Amino acid sequence: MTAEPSTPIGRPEPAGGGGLALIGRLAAAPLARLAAAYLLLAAVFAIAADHFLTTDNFLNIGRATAVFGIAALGLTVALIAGALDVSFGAVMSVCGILAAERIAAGDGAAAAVAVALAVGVGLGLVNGLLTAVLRLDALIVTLGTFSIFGGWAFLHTNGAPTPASDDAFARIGRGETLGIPTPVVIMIAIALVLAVVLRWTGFGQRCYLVGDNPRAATLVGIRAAWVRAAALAISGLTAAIAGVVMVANAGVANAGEGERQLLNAIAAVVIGGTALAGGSGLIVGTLLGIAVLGTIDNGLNLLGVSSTWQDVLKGVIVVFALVLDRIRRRDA
Amino acid sequence: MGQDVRRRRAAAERLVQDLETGAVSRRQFIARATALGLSVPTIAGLLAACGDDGGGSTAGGSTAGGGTATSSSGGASGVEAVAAKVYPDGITSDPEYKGPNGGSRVAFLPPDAYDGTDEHGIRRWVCYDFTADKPYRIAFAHFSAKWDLSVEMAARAERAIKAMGCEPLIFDNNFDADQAIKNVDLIVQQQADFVVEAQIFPDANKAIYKRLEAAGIPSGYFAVEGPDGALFEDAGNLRMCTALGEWLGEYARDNWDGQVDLVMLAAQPRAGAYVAEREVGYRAGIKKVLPDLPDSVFVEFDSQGLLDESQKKAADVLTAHPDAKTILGCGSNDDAAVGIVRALEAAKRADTAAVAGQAGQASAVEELKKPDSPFKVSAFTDIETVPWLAAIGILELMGGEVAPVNFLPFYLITSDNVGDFPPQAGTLA
Repeated sequence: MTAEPSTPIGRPEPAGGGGLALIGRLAAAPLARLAAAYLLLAAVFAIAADHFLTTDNFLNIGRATAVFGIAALGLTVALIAGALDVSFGAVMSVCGILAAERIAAGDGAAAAVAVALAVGVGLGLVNGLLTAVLRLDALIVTLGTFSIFGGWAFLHTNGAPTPASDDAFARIGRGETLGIPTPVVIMIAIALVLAVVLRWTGFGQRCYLVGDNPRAATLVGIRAAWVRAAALAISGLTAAIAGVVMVANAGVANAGEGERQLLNAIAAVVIGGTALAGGSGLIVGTLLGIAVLGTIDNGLNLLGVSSTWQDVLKGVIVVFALVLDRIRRRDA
Repeated sequence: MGQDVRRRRAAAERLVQDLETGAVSRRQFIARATALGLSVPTIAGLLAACGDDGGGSTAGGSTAGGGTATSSSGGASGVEAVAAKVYPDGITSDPEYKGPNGGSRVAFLPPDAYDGTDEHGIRRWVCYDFTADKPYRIAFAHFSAKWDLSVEMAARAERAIKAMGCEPLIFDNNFDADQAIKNVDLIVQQQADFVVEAQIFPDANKAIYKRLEAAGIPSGYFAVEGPDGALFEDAGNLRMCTALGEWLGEYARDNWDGQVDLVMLAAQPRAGAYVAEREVGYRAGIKKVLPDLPDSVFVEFDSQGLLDESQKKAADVLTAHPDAKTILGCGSNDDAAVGIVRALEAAKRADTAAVAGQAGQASAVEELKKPDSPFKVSAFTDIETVPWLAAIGILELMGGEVAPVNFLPFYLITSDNVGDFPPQAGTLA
């Protein structure tokens, strides 16, 4: 994953050579700075909070962040391609409800997951096609579909919760794989796949190009609109997976539940260094962003800090990340 | 004019004598008393004083010293039953509980004041089974069409208001304070006589009350308190959670010899003082049974009333208390309680834990069906009692004196009786 491009494609890498130069390059890399900031944060909590530095606690952090983290990974791909997808929370709700309905109908976990994922990709493609065909900004399109998908979830269920009581299905949200919470395993697996896609596939490279300069990408023969459509489909897919994990954990699906993940997921992506304007970003950066958010929540909880202050602090960090992003882009 | 009053008073006295001697049935008494223009509280008081001869529908016993009474029938709805719980007979002054706004007059709706079930399987509460003296326009502004229980509440209210011979005006507050205030403008335009307000923002209720008061329209507030002195109806956070706390305390006493290492309180501190009474109740109930339990075992956190948020915070509390074996969990609502359950399961510490919630949410119903779940008990309120606030408003419009704070019955639900509770959402709506 560290082999991913750490600077936007088309921009020269810092000159290298020698051990000191390598350290210099690392210090200059946004990702390295973020990793250092995370380690510092963890060190502070390790000193201040008695039970912070335990395996169980880090598993707690993973468990607490997995749902919005999974969504944030797909969102990173869309954002790199220059398509800010704000509909993913509603897609989570829709897919979670459909999975729960399949469970209630006795179809079993595999069928429920398959339906949810297919619908997630479909809704992502709807976003993509609207963006491509109507040549509209993805933010505008996904704001609209956010209302449409979210509204449909309420209309379809009449606001009623849909129970999803099935042991196999519940294990997706509550089980463990090799001693690690299954949602965390799913998140890491998706992160690996997406990191490979972005770094080593033509599609991944085109995402960076389209996000960085869609006009230039078009001039070299890349169908920018369709690259964005595919990126939005990936965002739909990860939103569906997040929706399934969310419902499997809760044991019940509620319309409107996914929408609450919006702020955390976008915050993780932004903190992770993905540019809101597209063209740069890393999956490993988003993972670090997820870890930062989860660790702040966890550490402050262990220290007994009120959740109001936690919200304030998270807001400050997001604003700080946005300011850094702005400065970085201006310097570039 | 004065002669007329004297003649009516004499007629009323004769009527009372007839009631006392059994010369007229309760039903006949109500009809004649209404014709004579006696007020509802007067009729109620007289009937209560003369005892029950079984002439009306049973109204059940009061839980808090309140008596039962009967109101007038007849009118447009064609509803046959005439019994009604009419306060102030049912009013009691509870020295311990002063109501959400410090009010001392508190009315309790007795839990057995229902009379079988109707064709939908809904409990038939006799409390609003009476007919108003005029076809009042009663507005019912419910929480949100996005919540199935709220939709059902609106449907039940519409039915109950019609059954009382009044005209229902239903509004959707959409979980939105602005929308709720906009609805008030429509309510004023439509010249409602009384408004039942159900929305989640206490401050918005104050603004709503002011607007309605300026328009001369009385109002009552369900679940979330209005301003001081405004009519209010709820199951009562303090009394309900005290009962749940006692249940948990008894569980700990019976199963763990009273040894409790940790009590997790999944609170909602941003939801206002009235909701905060839930944690006060839980603490009071547990300490009532286990008075020696130190305050240090109680750990409160902000769950926001959400399952995932509660789960995250509870997991962190468990991390911070690695040695706690016997654990009680108290959810501000059922979702928050299920969040505690998920955290306990993930930490593999669910075997020596007992969790309580309240509200009757779907998450609780599912969890209570599992015999091995640490989710042991929840408090449910029958949604059919919600329109009782409309009945109280109508009684006030009819000149009756009503209690400002009205408590609905609640039921402690465990895995043993979760299947017996009547259907709530999806029955009429």
